[in-house]
Amino acid sequence: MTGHEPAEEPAPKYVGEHVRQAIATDPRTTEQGIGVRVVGDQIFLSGEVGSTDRRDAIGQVAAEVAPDHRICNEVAVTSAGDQHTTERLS
Amino acid sequence: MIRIAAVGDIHLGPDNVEPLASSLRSVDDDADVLLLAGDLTRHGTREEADLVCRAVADVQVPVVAVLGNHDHHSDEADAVTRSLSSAGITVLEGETAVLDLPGGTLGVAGTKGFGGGFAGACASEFGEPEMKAFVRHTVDIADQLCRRLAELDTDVRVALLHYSPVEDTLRGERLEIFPFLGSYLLAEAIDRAGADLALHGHAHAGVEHGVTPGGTRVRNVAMPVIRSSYRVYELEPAVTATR
Repeated sequence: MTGHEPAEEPAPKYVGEHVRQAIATDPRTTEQGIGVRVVGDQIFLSGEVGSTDRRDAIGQVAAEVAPDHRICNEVAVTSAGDQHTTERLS
Repeated sequence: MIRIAAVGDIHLGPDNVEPLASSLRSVDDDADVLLLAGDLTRHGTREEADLVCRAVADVQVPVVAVLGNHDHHSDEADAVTRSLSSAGITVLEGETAVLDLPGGTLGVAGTKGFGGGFAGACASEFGEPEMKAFVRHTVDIADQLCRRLAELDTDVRVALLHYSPVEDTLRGERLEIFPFLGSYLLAEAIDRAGADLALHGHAHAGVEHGVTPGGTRVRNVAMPVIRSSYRVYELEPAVTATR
């Protein structure tokens, strides 16, 4: 064997982006705007989604991609309000 | 007075269709038309499009939509469009809709739009075929938008997009992703043809208010931005009669 074998695991500094990409593309989530910050062995997730199911799915996907990290799922659940404001353009 | 209700990025799934449907029931009292600025689904499937149909089933005013990038994800955009159309939603892609409303005639030129960035820091049609194709897609869409807007002979003209035509409404988004959120070519098309209002979504972390370099009002109606199931804009045809 010559040359170098790639490492089996990505360097820690790439874990955050791997998690973000998974959240953006996994059919369970497909959330494009979730913030991912890696601090030591913890991963902090931030942003807003429309339901608790969607927030929980984000945490699940992150945990699968980074099983060696503790996932701190701080994604907020927001819903569209029923207050409909009007702007007059003149 | 023409009253336009608008929202984008509703990203419907089984878990949020009923709350939205309930909230949209007041739109008939508030507006003369409902415009949907893309990303109506999460994955762009026919099944999710059917949920959109359910959400607007009780809406009596005309509903006009463009698709967003999410609505293209499963490569079923034609099926999504057919589903929406079967429910009476007018889906525009490089096309126009003319509506005779109580307050006057409204023309809507609709397109998904695309990215590329903004003046001073945008992609060019140069280099690898993939890069040229990326930019060419936006150029073609912008050219078509300009033509369609110019064709409209209505009291009020609106450009309905998913991607943003201006940077203004992207404030709050990371600067690095601006080229994926919109293109100045869309604003240039709007300013060349003229319009009374441009609506878009896509930028969830952006802000609502913006203006093109030519002075056309721009509103980002992504639901996470307006934090409501729709926003209403009132436009007086007489204001624009002198254009």
